[in-house]
Amino acid sequence: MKTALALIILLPLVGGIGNILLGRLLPRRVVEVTACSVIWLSFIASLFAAGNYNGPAVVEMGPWLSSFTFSAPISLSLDSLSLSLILMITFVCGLIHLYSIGYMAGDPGYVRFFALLNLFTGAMLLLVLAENMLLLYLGWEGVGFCSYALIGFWYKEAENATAGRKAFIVTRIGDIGLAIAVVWMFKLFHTFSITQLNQLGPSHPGVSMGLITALGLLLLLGAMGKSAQAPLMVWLPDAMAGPTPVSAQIHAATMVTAGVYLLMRMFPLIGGSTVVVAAIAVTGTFTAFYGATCALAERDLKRILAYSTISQIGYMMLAVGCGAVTAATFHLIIHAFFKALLFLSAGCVINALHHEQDIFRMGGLYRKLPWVFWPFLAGSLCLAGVPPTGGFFSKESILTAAWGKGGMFYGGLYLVGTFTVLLTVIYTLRMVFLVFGDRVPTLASRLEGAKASGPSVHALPRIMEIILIPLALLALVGGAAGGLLEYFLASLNGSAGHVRLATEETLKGVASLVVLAGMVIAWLYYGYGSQHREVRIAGAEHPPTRLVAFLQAGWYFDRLYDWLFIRPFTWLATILWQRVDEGVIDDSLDWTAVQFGRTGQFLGRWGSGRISVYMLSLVAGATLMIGWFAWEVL
Amino acid sequence: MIVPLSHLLVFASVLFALGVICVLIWRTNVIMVLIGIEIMLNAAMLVFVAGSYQWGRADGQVFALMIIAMTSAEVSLALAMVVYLHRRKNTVNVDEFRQLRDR
Repeated sequence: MKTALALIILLPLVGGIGNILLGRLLPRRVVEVTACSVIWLSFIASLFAAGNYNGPAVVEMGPWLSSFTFSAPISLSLDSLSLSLILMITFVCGLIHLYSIGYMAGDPGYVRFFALLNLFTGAMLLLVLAENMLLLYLGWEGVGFCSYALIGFWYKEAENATAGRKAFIVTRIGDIGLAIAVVWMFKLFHTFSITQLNQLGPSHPGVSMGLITALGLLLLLGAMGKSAQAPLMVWLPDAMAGPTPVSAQIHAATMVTAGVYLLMRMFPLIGGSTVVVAAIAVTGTFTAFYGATCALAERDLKRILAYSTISQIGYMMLAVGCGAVTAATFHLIIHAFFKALLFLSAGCVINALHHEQDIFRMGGLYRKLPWVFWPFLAGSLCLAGVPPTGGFFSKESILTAAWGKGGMFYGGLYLVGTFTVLLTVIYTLRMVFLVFGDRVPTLASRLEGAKASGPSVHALPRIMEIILIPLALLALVGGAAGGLLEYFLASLNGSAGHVRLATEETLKGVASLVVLAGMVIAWLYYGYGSQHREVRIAGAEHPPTRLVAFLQAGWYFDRLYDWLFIRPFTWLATILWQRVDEGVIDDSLDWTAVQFGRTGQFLGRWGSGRISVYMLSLVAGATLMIGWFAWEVL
Repeated sequence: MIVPLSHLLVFASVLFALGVICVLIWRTNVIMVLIGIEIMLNAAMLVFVAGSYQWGRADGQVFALMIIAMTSAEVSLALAMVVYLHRRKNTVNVDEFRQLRDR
């Protein structure tokens, strides 16, 4: 077991470091095979760990930091939560790695790409398996760094590099919260061990509920940054600047789920505080709603998916806020499958269309890319939560948990969540219809002739399409795994309210009706042959209305932050630079130097070379000295 | 002793002052400057000798002899330099030689 756990983490790290050091000397195929095989071997090790799993275990690998009472050994913990996550991560990342071979064919930076991708996976696995907060923080920062480097992977375009920096800086704001929480927890509990922290909890002497609330809010801040929750969600849509496999990995497996995972991990500690739980739930619900509304108006295929991720992670946060850790994990895993699937197939679409990302310029692709269409449809249905798919069950379990908590507050959250389900269906199907649906040739396009049948398509590497199939199957039948997972994770659940079976069935019916309504609306607006569809497509050429512009700009959050933080900062920096640094400090030093120089020049005239002047000075000086001595003596 | 020490000191001071004034004023001629220096040295020697007589010790006189020897060497060297300078600029005016000035 110890070896297996060590291998799970070490394999990707070693693969990444090996590729960094030797990758340039090896042939391309070797680099690709190494990068993929380490992840799959790690998956096999995870399977082995799962096979030998019998109850939560903590394995200490060796000492790391220790002095007096401070100790943070390299210890890993394997429980049902981390086990299910590492299985998912290694599997999804393995598929993404394989897909990357096709996607990055022809890119000269493949060594850097695969090395970073491996490190990314390794850091996430470390984060998930870490048993003490410092090790978790190490993985947390490793994930942050790799995401920064990969989002700005095509750094030669300034825009991409800026997106990478934005992701790094915004998540860093959250990281500060986590860092403070980690240190504070050590001060309160004198331990970094997560197991011990969760056991000690509020019962620890000298720890009041207020302190737990403060810790919980700090952890929530960290999760907000990493998981792109309001108000720190602005980095995720811009993170689409990276290569599509990176987006898939960030969204599905490695990065954004880290925040939710942190909250789930620490739930026994922070779950006792009603304020924290409510804050988590509100953050999640608001973010879910925010993401869905933005996705409704967005035109860029990848940004729609990014907003949908923000929205779905919001659901996970809502689940954690309702104490339904199982539901959150369930949704996290299902989401990983269908979001990886959606991103990878979106990558196929974008690649096939010569890097066209505007969905209003696509259309008719179901004929041209049938092998992409069916998986994409499966992923979309899952995202929309159409009944028999995994997405329906996972989302439903979250909403049921919210309903089960009862009361006005959670009832309201349930309503918003359900309304967001409706929005989700609409934007998902809008995307599917616009990208894959046939375009009825309009008058203008009929005149143009050839373009009526939609954009031209070029062939895809086979491996990119093959990868989609297992993910599509998992997304579709993932719901069946829900019961299993619920049994498996039962120990994790917090104070989730229990819902009677009849109520649960009613809620399921309501959700199905909502989904159905959403499908009808989407069909009416964007479906084949409807009048509205052509109107929408034609309307997309015009400048957007105010509401659409508001949604497209992500509720102007970027502009708000620009006004609130960036501009005052730039203003202050300009003042400090031009007035204080150059104006006061530099100028005063310059002035002093100039004055010294002038004085020197003035005094230098004395050294005129006239011997008589020197003599006179000598005599005058000697006279003065002698006179002074005489004065002293007399 | 017929002459009291204080008279000698006053006389030496006057002599020294004359030498200084000679050096300071008569600068159109290097030789006069040298003569002024000689006068000052003589004033100093006079003080040495007077002191030696006053306290009955030989050191002062020995030192006076040393100064005489040194002065003769110095004068011979200095006069040689004067000749050299005169050759270069065809003048003995002190202020004409300003190559050592600042800039």
